[in-house]
Amino acid sequence: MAFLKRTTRAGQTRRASSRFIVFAVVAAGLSARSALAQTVADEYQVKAAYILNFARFVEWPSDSLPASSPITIALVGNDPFNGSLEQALRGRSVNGHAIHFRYVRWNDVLTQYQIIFISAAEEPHLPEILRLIGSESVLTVSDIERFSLRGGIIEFSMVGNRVRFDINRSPAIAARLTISSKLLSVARAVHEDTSR
Amino acid sequence: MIARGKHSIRRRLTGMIMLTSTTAVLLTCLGFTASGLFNWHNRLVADLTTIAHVVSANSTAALTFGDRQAAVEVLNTLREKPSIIAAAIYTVPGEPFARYEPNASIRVPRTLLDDGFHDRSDRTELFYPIQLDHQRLGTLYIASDTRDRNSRIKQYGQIAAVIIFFSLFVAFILAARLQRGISGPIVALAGVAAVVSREKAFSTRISHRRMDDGDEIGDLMTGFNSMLAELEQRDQKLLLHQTHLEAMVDSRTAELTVANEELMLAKNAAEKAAAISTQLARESALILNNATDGILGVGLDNRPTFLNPAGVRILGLTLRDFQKKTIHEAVHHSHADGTPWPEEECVNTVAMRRGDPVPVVNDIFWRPDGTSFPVEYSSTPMFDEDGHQLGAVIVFRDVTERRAIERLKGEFVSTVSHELRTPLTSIRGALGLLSSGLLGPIAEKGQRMLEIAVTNTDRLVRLINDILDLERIESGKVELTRGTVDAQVVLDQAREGLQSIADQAGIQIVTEPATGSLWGDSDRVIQTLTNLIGNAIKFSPAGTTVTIGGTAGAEDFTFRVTDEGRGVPDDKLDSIFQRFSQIDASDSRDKGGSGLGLAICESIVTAHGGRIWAEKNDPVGTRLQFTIPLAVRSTSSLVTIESPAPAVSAVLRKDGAPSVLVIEDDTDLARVMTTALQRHGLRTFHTASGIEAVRLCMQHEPSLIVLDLGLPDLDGYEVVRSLRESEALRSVPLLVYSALDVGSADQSRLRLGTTEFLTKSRCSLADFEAQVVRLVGTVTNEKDSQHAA
Repeated sequence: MAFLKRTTRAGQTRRASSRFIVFAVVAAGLSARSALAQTVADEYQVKAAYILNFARFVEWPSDSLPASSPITIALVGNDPFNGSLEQALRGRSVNGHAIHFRYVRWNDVLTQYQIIFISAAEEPHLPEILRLIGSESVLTVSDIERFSLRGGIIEFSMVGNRVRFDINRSPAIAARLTISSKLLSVARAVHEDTSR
Repeated sequence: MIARGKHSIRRRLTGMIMLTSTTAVLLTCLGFTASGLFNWHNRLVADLTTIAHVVSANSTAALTFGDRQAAVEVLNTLREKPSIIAAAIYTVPGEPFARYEPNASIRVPRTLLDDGFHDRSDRTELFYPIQLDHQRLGTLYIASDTRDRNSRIKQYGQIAAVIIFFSLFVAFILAARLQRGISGPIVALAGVAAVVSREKAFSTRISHRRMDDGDEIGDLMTGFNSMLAELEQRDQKLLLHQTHLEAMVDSRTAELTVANEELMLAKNAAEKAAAISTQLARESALILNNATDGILGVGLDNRPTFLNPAGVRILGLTLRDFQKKTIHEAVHHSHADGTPWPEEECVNTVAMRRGDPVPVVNDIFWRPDGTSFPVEYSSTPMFDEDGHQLGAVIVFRDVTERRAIERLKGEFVSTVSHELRTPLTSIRGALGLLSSGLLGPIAEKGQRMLEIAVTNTDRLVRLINDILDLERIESGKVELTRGTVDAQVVLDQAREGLQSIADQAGIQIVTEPATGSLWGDSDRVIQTLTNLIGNAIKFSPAGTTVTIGGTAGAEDFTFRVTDEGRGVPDDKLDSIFQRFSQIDASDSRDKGGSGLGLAICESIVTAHGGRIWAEKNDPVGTRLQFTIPLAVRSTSSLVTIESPAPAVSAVLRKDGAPSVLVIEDDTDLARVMTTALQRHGLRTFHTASGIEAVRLCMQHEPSLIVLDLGLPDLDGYEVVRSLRESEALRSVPLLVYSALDVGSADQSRLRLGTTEFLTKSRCSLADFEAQVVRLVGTVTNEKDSQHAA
């Protein structure tokens, strides 16, 4: 159908929305309970929710993620979420996969995880981390400046009070990760450059 | 009629064809429209579902990450579909998240409805869930403009109208052509039929090319033609008959007029007769209803057929109360003393059987309540015109009051007479003493006066005696002591008693020889003869002759007393038997009669069952005659039934005839009994003594013993006990004939052989005789069978 073809596009201007509505939507995705309980959300609480939802719009190759095996999300370095990520992921599942969570160090074996969030404090080790991962099927997420342009896949960025994200499709393709066009359609920017 | 008829069938055929085709086309159009709309709606639902599915899938990320801009972008893709007039995405709590409202006048709803389709007048709305990974993210709302559907219906309607119009047009043309094949011949047929019926032109014929087709219409026309031919033929025949008929009608009319007049005459006569008959019937009913006597109709079966109101009143029962009973069973079932009265002996039944009238004056009828009343009635048989008996009419009257008056009168007379007799006896005695001279000499003149007194006192005594006699006879107080009486004997005795009187009067009495054995009371018969002869002497002049005699008839003996006196006038011949009846008022004084003599004679004769009458003697004088029944009548049933055969009797009886021993202390009664039994050819012995009776039995062994219980020496019980001691006498038949009823306990003490019991007051002499004859017959029969063995 022709009118669906325009769902993937890049570089659109976006209107600012109130932080409250963003939170409400995210909270609905996570839990109606928490959404109603809290009125002001922390930036990292939003990001924690986003990380879980990324798992919903990304497909892993079946050799790295067999059916019914858990999706393990690892936090590399110190914890900017102040524990809320672990809390947000606890007991959750996505597409039939249970969600597990680990705190790891940059020099651990990161290729055994499906999603890693690289704390901004680990920026010095970033090249080494990305090199170690290589083309393994690991979705990399971080809020390090220019992360998506330096070989990372999804980079959090703030537009005013709102949390947005950019996506670099090249490392994702290399890692054989399929990112849904729907996710791409809501990204602030989608790159296809090959900086590595 | 003709104008409508000419067009009717054409119009109807065309109309039928048009109606059929229009209906078919209309139904077809309706079907197409309905199926088109159905398909259209299905497609709409499928389209909307597909669109909703794609849009909701595309909007998941926008919802997940709160990107309104992205959501609006997704909704804006619906611009490609002009029928979608509004769309929106709602969050889970129902807040609008993104809207698509291309037409400012159409707004998305503020609140959510249930998932699924919702039809509005101008649009169809779909609420579709937005889900991701089995989680509800929100709701998609899509509204599709359905005014399209209305315009589509209108479009279908227009198409249908065009089709119908066109098909009607074509159908009309086709029908107009096709119906001619059917209606043409029929119209032609109708035209011919109209002509035939209007002008009676039966020679007309239809000709049409369809006649050769051989279908039903062809047959119809052929049939019509042959019918016309038939009609034509008949018409001609009719014409021939008509002339003939007119002549016939004329002659018949003349005949009928004559017959009619005769009928009118007959009818008038019949009406008159009917009126008379009605009048007669009404009068008959009036007579029946108003008669004071009871009138009861009976059929041949002795059951009642009608009963008049007086009868209902007297009998105390209505016709219905008879139920199935005969007259006899209902009102005549018992004797006055309460003993049953078998219907065979009933006078009504007898009258019915004989077919002649039987008047009855001394009888009773019973009412349903058990009371009875004295009644006089006559039973007259009814016959139809052919002489067949239909039944009988009984006219009856309750004579209770009359009987009571008669009894009072009788009692009065008898009391007065008795009271008179005593002083008269004294007077007569005194006069006798005086006239005899025993009380002293009496002057000659006085002596004459005394003789007059004596004569008249004697006459007064006779009168009173006659009155008492008559009263006693008529009230039934005097029992006739019947026996066998020789006619010559009584005539002679009567003559002897009157000979001196006759000599004094200078009258010669001539007795003609009379032969006959009478059944009667000889004293009473002599009294009657004496009365009649005395009368004859009294009313005959000196020197004349009184002839007495009689002859035997079939059942009766007729006595005759003939004088040569002055005679009885014709009009007095019947009335001379009434009391105190004299031919001249002076007679009683001259002749010294009481005026009761003939009345007494009549009473005696009637009591014997005979009759008495007077007639003129030729050339002068009077002849009085009366009848008394003969002792042995040729029709007597008792003798013929019970008489044993002489040959057998001779063997069985010691002395020839069967012997009966009568043990009875009342000698008069014994004489009556023996006299009666002798008539049946029985030998009789009589004794008043029980001891003598036992001795006689031992000596003679009688065939039957008749025993009275009250005897002067041995009583009846002792006699029986003595007889039982003898072997020979133990089985002798016994008839106990007593004044008292014998109880069953006593009866057992009185049995010898075959033993029967009769009570004197309850049975007549005839009953007694019948019983004796039966018992003697039984014993002889027994002996017959023994002898035969």
